Amino acid sequence: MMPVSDGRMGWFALMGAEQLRNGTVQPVRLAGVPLAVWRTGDGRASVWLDRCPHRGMRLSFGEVQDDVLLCPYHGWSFGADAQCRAIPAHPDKKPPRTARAAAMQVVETDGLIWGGAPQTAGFDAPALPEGAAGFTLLRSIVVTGALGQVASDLVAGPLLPDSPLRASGGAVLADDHAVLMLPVDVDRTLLHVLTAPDMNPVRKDALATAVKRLRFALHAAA
Amino acid sequence: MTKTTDPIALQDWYVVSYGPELVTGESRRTCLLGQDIELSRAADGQAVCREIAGDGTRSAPLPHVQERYGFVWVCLGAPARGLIKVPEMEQPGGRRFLFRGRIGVPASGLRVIENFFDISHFSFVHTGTLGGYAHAEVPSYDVEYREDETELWAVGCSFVQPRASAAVGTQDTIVYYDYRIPRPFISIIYKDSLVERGAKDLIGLFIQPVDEESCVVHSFAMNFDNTNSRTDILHFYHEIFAQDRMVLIHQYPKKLPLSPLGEVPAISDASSIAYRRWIAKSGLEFSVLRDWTGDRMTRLDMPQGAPVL
Repeated sequence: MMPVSDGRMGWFALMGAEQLRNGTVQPVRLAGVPLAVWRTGDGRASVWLDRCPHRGMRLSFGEVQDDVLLCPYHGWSFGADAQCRAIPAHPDKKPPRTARAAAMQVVETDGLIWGGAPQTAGFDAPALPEGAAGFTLLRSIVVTGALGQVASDLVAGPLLPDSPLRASGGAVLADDHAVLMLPVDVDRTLLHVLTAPDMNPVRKDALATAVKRLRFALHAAA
Repeated sequence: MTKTTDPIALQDWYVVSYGPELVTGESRRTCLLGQDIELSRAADGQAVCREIAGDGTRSAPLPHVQERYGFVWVCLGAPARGLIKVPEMEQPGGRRFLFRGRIGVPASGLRVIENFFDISHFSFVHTGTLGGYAHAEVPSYDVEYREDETELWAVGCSFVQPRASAAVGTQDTIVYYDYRIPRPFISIIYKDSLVERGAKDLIGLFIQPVDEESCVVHSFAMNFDNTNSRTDILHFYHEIFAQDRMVLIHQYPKKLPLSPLGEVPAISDASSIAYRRWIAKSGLEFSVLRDWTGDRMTRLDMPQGAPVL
């Protein structure tokens, strides 16, 4: 079940779950905020602000070793609970409790990794519309263009010519596919293209091709 | 860009050029504390500095310009003190002076200095030369104030180094360091020479803060290595610096947070803790975040104009 944004919590589909292999860390940008998304060796995902609490280095440049993420600056290691476990400069001393990464809540569902955080008033975090229940991730891409413009462009020029897209929540929706949109920066948008489980394979292929062309079409329009 | 209004920053001396790079008949444009300046060398050999206004007009030559230790120094305001003294520059005692270059870094000069006197990153950023995974522990050292409390020193620092300098092959050696931080934007290492036992090599940075989030690093060394070529010695130093640069350009926030609530120190960070307190006490505002207490994921602020779909 996809997490639902309400007045207090916002949920953001950050990346496809299969894009994050066990034991790796990747940077993701959400509305200009740099995040580090990583998996322990046995698959537990975490989403943190991409910043070590020690001296501000990007954790996404670090390395996962089994169940910890190591910061590349001083080798501080953090467990999936965001707490620093060890400081190599003094290995026998327990790190302070304040040595802690800033964490989002995490849910993995329907092929996506969702990060959740209390959200600022006045912005509706993109929730997946009911019509997309059960849809799974086909492909994600980042395109040039502000989110509102990209959404309008998709409604005006649907991916499959016989399937109009209607705006619904943080997505545009057809009967057997949907595009979930998130702001990367003010001029770049992340698109997750989702398909119904029983989508006709020929249509699915055509959709995959259309998505590839989409990036160039939007570039040309800009 | 506009000149900073911070009086503490303006009353200090900063290197703006390596002397020999300033040639009579040529002028060079650079930027100090947000102020565009033009450097030149008069016919009589004197270094000259003029401010460049927004419309391109040059000011009269600035009064506070001097050349010392092979570098050109400028104070844009009224100097609160004289230049720092580096006795080894006047009495090299067998050391060879090496200009290590002028490198622009899109990072605060304060972050660059703090990285320069930090030891606990050696094992992870300079693995195989200045440190290694097997010996990452930092032995305790002392922090002192010298010269009437105007200079910060970290003394008796030591670390196990696989390859401490260009002069030596790879073999774990305990090397002793003293770090001198006479001004917020200047630091000099006094490091065991593995060539001249009992004496110290000097490695130093004179930072020219361009603006609050970028700087030009003018660096030098004075060492006893008369065997290796300048090129080989420079390659060693530049590899070290390239490794540090990869960290410096990715630190956030760019300005230096002074509160330990914003950036959590470890016990081995005694010199960094002292450096941030010393800067806080000096009243410096330029390139500093006094009250920043960190980011929490308590709010996600969307960009202006983000649509409600």
